[in-house]
Amino acid sequence: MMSKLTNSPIRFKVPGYLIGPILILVAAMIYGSLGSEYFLQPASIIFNTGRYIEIGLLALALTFVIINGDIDLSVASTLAASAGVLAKLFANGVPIFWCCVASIFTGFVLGLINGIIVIKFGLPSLVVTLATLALYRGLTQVMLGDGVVANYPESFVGFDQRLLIGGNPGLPAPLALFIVASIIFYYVLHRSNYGLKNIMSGSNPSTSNFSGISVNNVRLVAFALSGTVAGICAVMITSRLGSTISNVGLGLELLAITAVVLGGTDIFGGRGAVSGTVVALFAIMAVREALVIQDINGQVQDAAIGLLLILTVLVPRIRSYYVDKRNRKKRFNEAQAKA
Amino acid sequence: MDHQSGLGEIVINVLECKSLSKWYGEAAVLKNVDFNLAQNEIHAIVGENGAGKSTLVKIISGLVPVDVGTIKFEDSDRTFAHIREIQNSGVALIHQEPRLFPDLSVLENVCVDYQVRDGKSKRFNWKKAEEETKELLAQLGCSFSVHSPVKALSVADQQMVDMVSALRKKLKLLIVDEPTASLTPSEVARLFATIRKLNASGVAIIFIGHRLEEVLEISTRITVLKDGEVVAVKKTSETTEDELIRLMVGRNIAASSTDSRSSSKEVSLKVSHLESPGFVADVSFEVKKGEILGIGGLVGAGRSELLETVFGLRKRTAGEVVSSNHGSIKTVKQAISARVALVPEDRAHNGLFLNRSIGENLVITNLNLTSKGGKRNFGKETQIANELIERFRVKLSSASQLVRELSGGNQQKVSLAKWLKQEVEILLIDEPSRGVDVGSKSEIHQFLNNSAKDGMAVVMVSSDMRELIELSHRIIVMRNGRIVGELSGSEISEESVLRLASGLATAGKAN
Repeated sequence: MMSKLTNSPIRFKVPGYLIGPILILVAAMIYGSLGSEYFLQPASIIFNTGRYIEIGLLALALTFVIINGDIDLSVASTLAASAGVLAKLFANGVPIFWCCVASIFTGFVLGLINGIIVIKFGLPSLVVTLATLALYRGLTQVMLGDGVVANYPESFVGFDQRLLIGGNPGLPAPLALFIVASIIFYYVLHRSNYGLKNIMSGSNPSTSNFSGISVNNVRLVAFALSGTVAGICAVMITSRLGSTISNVGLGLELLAITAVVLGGTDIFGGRGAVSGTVVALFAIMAVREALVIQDINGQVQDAAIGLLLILTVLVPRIRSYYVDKRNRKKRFNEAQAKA
Repeated sequence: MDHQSGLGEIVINVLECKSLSKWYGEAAVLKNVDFNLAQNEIHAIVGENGAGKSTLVKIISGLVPVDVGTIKFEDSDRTFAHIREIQNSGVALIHQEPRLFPDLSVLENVCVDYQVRDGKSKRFNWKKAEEETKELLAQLGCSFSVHSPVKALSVADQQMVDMVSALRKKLKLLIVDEPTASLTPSEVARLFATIRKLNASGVAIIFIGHRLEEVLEISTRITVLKDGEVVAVKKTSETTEDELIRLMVGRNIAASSTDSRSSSKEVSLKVSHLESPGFVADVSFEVKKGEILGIGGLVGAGRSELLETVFGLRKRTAGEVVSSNHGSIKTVKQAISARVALVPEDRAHNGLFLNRSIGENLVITNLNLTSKGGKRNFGKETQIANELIERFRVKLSSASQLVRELSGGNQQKVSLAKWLKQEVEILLIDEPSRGVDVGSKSEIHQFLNNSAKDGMAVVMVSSDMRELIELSHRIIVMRNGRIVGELSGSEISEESVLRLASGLATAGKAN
C-alpha cells in the first residue's frame, strides 16, 4: 500500500513554505463552517475577499522589499497620504480621474523617498520606514484634519461591488485585479531578470556587487514599487468606502507584512515566493472571517493572527533542530562503531 | 640575568608542547611540533604565511583544540583545558587586530572578563576598577582616557587596552601575534619597552613577527616554522636575517619555467597612480596579453584592495585604469563590459551566493545571454550552467543543489566559472587556491596557464609562495599599499619576494 502510494505517477510536491499557510487555511475553513453552513459557500467567500484585496496587493509589493532584506513599515501611511491627496484635490474640484493619477503618483514619490533615504544614507529601512510611518500619517492628518471628504461621483464609488463576470457567485473587479496582479508579480519575481537580481541581492548583497548587480538600484525599485502599489490601493479603498478620513487604512501594514512572512519569505532576505504570499493572505482572511462567524471579538482575532505567525515560523525551526540532533547522533554512533 | 645565575645552565620551562599536530579538513597545518618556552625568554616564532604560526599560538592559548599531542603549562597538563581555564592560569593572547568591543569604553572592555566587586554586597565597584585601570595604563605609558570608546583609539592604543586586560590577572605567559603590522616606529618602541619590562618581571613572552629586524631586536630565541613543521630553533645572538630567510624558505624553486614563457608585447590593462585611501597608494602597473602578473606581499599589504579598486568596487581618489581595448574603467559595470572579471579571495562573502543553487550562481553573471528583454529563459540557463559545470568538472549531484553543500575546491570552481561563459580579457584572481584541495588546485593552475597561453591577461594575488612563483611571469610586491619592487625572469625567487615583502630590501638589491 505504502509503496504504491509513494510511487504513484502523479505526485504533487508542495513547497515547504506553503504547508503552514495551507494547514491554517484548511483548519480555519473547517472551524468557520462549524459556525455557519454558509461560511464555505462560494458567494460568501468571494464577498468576503473584497476587504482583503488592498492588503493582498500591499503584501505582493512588500514581498519584493522583504526579499531584498529591507522592510517598508510605512505602506499603510503611504496609502493614507495618497488617499489624502486624492481627497484634497477632489474637494478642490479636480476631475476624479486626475485625482486618482495624483494619488498613485504620490505613492510612487513617497516610496521613492523611503528608498532614497535608506540607500543614500545607508540607514536601516526598519528605522527609516518607522519614521515615515509616523510622518506620512501625520501629513495626512494635516491635509484632512478631522474632516471627512465624501460625495465622490457615482461612477467612482463602489468599485468592489462591480462584477466582471455576472451571476452568482460572479467575479468582482477587485478579486480579478488581485488575480491579475498575482500573476504579474509571479512572473516578475520568478521569471524575470529583475526578480532574480532581487532574490540574489537579498541573499548576499556583497557578492551581488562583486557580480555587477547594482544592489542599490534593485532595492530602490522595490521601495518605489511598494509606494506605487500603496497609491493604487488608496484609489481602491476610497472607491470602496466612498469617503476619506485621515486614519484610512490604519494598521494595514501589519496584516500585509504578516502575509508575506507567513508565506515563507525570509525576513532577512534572499528567499521568498509570490505563491506563499497569496496563500498566506487567504489563510489570514479565513482565520479572521472564521473568528467573526464564531462570534469571537476583534481583539482575539488580532491575537490569533499573531500567534499563528509565531507558530508557522517556529515549527520548522523546532523540526530542523530535532532532525539535526538525530543526524548528529547517527554520525556519532557510526564513528563509534568504526572505532 | 641575575635571577638565573644561581641555576646555571638549567632552564625551567613554563610551557612544554610535545608533538602537536593539527588538521583543518584534509590539510595538516601543524605536524609534530615540539615547542618549549623558558620563563625568562622572549621567544619569537617566524615563518611564511601559512607556516602554522598563528595556529600554534591559538592552540597554546586554548582558542583551537589540538588534534594530537600534549601541552604542559607550569607542570600541569593543559592539553584539553577550556580557554577560560587557560586564561585564568595566566596566559594572554594579544592579536594583531585587537579583539575588543569597539563601542564600549576602555574601562568597560577591561572589565569584561575581570570584575572588581565589593566584598560584602558583591556589587560591581566601578570606582575601584577605574583606579586600577588608570594605574596600569600609566605604567604602560598611555595617556588616553579610560572613558573614551575603544573605536576612537589607534590600533597601538587598542593593543595597550588588550594588554591592560591581560595585566589585570596574574600574567605568566603573554603571546603577541604580529603586533607591529600596523604600528608606527614610535609605537613599536613603546610596545617593545612594555614587552621587555614584563619579561624582566617574570612573564614569559611568545612573539610572532613578520619583520625580521624587529624579531632579531626583541627576541632571545627564535623558532622557525615551515609548512607546519619546526625547521630550526636558534638563539638570537647566533643567527642572522639571511640565515632566517633561508630557513623559512627552505627550498629553491627553479624559476626556469618562467623564462621559456613568452607573453606578447601588447598591453592589455594599464593602471596608473591608483589611490584608495588607507589601502592603495600610488600604484601603477601594466599587464600584457597572455601574461600572468603575480602580486606578492604580506597579509594586509593592500593586495586584495588593489584588485577591488581596479574592478571599480572601491572608491578611488586618484589614478586611472585603462583597458587597451575598451578604454577607461571606473565602475564595476564598465569593468564587466570591458571583459574584466574578479574572482575574490573570500568566496563565502564576495564570490558566491551560498544559499542559492549552483545554477543561479552561474547564471547571475550571464543574464545578457540567457534572457531576452529582461525575461528569463530557463532552457538557456540550464544549458549554460551545465556547460560550465562540465567544463570545470564541478562535482555535484544536480545544478539545483545549494552552493554551500559543495567542497571548497568545487566552490572555487563555481566562483571562477561564473565569469567564463563569456570572453574574459583580463582576469583578476585573488588567492586562487585558498581552502582548495590539491586536485582542484592543480586544475585551477592548469586553467590559468592555458588561459594565459590563449591570450588572457591574468593578475593574481597569492600568499602561497610556490603558487606565486610557479605561475607568474612577473611579480610585483606590495607593502603598506605601495608597490615596493618588481621581479621578473631569474630574479624571481621565494627569498627575493620575501625580502621585498618584509621590507628588508628595496627593489635595487632584491637579489
